[in-house]
Amino acid sequence: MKKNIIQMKDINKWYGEYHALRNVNFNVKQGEVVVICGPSGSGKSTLIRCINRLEEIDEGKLIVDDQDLYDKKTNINKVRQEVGMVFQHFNLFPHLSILENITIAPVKVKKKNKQEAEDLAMKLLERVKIPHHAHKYPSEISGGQKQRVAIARTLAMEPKIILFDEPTSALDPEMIGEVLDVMKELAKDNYTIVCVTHEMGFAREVGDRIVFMDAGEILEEDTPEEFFNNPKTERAQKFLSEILHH
Amino acid sequence: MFRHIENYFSKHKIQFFIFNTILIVSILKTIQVFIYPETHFSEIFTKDNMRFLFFGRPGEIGGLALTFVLAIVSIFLSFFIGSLLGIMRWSSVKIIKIPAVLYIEIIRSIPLLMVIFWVFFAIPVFSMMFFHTQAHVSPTVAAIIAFTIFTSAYVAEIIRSGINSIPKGQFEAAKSLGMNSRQIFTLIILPQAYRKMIPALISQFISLFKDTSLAYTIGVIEFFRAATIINNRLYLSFEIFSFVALVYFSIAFSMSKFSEHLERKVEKQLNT
Amino acid sequence: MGYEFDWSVLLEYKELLITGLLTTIKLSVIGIFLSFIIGSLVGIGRASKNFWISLFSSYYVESFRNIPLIVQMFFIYFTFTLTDIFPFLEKWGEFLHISDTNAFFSALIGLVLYTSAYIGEVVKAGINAVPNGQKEAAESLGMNSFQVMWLIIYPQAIKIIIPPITNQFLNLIKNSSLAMTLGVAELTFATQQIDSETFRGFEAATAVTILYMILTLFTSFIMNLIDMKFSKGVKNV
Ligand SMILES: Nc1ncnc2c1ncn2[C@@H]1O[C@H](COP(=O)(O)OP(=O)(O)OP(=O)(O)O)[C@@H](O)[C@H]1O
Ligand SMILES: [Mg+2]
Repeated sequence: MKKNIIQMKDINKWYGEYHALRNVNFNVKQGEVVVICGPSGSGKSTLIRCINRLEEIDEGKLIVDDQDLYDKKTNINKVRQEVGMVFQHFNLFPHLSILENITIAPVKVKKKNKQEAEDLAMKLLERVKIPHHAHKYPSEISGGQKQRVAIARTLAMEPKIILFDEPTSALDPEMIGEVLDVMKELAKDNYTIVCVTHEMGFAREVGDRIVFMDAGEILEEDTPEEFFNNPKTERAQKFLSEILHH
Repeated sequence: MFRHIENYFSKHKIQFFIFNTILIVSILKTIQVFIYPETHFSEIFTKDNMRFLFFGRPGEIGGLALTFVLAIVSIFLSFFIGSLLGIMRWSSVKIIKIPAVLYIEIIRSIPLLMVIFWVFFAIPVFSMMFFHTQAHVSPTVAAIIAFTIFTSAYVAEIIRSGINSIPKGQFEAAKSLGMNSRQIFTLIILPQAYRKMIPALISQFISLFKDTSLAYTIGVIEFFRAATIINNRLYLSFEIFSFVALVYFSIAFSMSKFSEHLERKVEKQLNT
Repeated sequence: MGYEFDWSVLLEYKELLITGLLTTIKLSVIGIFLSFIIGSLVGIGRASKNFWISLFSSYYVESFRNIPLIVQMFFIYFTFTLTDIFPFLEKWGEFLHISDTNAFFSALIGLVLYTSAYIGEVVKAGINAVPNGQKEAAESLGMNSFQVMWLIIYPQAIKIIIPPITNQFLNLIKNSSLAMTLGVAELTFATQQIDSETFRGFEAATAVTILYMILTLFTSFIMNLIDMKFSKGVKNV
């Protein structure tokens, strides 16, 4: 029995009047790959961004890697080194070269030796299959390549957990595959992954569990098999029939 | 998140103004306690001094009133000359465009004080050259001419960027309705451009309002020179200049907040 | 009879003009350096999430940019004797070959306070123009707020703000002419001096105008080079 590396208990969050997360209880085990799906505006991004405190929760308890995120003694920057995040719009640093994008955090945050960081960066670039662009700038590579650099940047911090927020939905269709391939490999390794995506093929292939959200609530949690074959709630059925027909 | 303090101020303009004034006063007070343990504010706050500072000597206009006259008359004139220059600069005909570009670029690269001296030195020279007489202009008129020459160049730039911000489609639509250039500008482009330029024009006016203090150098007895005259008589620099600073601040600050308010309103209008 | 130009006064008074030019350059270079540093700090403060830092920087900006520069200069010059408060200024003044140390530094401090308030606004706008995703990406890599600002946000903001900040530098150069009202012998002062001694204000003003144009053109040129250096290969991501 593996331990829970992410524990969310009775989480509530409001944006002003708007109740964005309603009584969310959500746990992730070490090494697990969890896919979150649900209609637009259902709170998927909000949920995943709470895990590294890019968003603040208003109520509830949030424990990541045995550290209570809202304990005064917790250094959030330390926790964030363990929790990588890959964004929909990549958010590469445009003023830094690809290599610098990957090494800046290991060198400045983890105080790694520069040469070591660069060696690791080159290895990671090979792993995401773009070793030849290390000295280019982000504006000079394609969207799919950008997202793979963003993944390498996250991996360079050697995180235990990686959060993905719709990593392929800003990409042209022909580039989605190359990013998903990299993600599938990560899923087979020992990373704990929480991923918001509508790529159901990916969910089926590597997901251990699917979480379905609507209107700020978690409505269903199941294995991909179960979820796709017989969704329990009406809203999940509706959601599935909509995305599978496109 | 970054903007929460902006939101606070836009909702609480008056509070911010009061806080800021209190802050300035308390900084002044600190300076005073440490450097000028004894102050004589009551000596400058006499009826005569205040009348001189705000309205000038009996029978002539001066002080803060003259400051406003200088600023308002000059911005008014600059608005027309600047519009003309801005349109000239926008034109594609070289003989029209180049003089405007030269004027704007030269004026914008030299200090206002130099423009003031130019007017002061050049008017007699030109009148000797062309009319063979020694012209005499009062310092106030010279100041207005200088401020107008100076501000026109900046207004022209505002106008030009205002015109540039109008989508090409507007020009094309007007042309295809058979309008000539003058009609295109006066009926279609300028009315749209002016609305967008109001905030920039107001901040130009605020700059001008502060810059009128430079008329001091050619002997115009506006607010600042009036203050220095009192200072020369009483030697109460701390009291006088802190009072002058506060008055300028209150006026310029209120105008800039008003302009921000307008800007938000215009933005809303353009968005709907 | 028209007006007879006599350009020889410029040669006769070349010492005065050269000293004036050097003084203007001293005020401008030191002024630009200091107001850039202070302005950047104020701008970062303006964009800060911390209420008190943000409030304090707002006060700074609003106070100094809403009071005419000449008033600030007079206030400093007539209320303080700077060399009494900061005795080391005497040495700096000697080092910079300045004849009236008090007047020079009063003018300089006025210039820096005034310009850094404007630069603060420019920097704030630049920082706010950097997309929020940059901050989030940096934070999710575990950077602290100082690293986020210094390594990620500011280098990008600086590119956005180079054109408006160049404008502020040019304004500072032009505003340094106000130092003449305190008797600092810079370029504009030289114009007036030549006029009052020879009544050749027209010729002097022509020469000084050209000098100012060279100064501002040169500054724009340098800033363009800096701009080009910063924009290598960098666009939106
Ligand atoms: N900063 C914010 N301020 C106010 N409301 C917000 C904010 N961020 C999100 N919301 C609202 O919260 C709800 C949930 O947003 P969230 O981004 O988590 O949805 P999502 O499930 O990720 O949707 P999508 O698939 O479109 O990305 C939405 O209705 C959104 O409008
Ligand atoms: Mg989302």
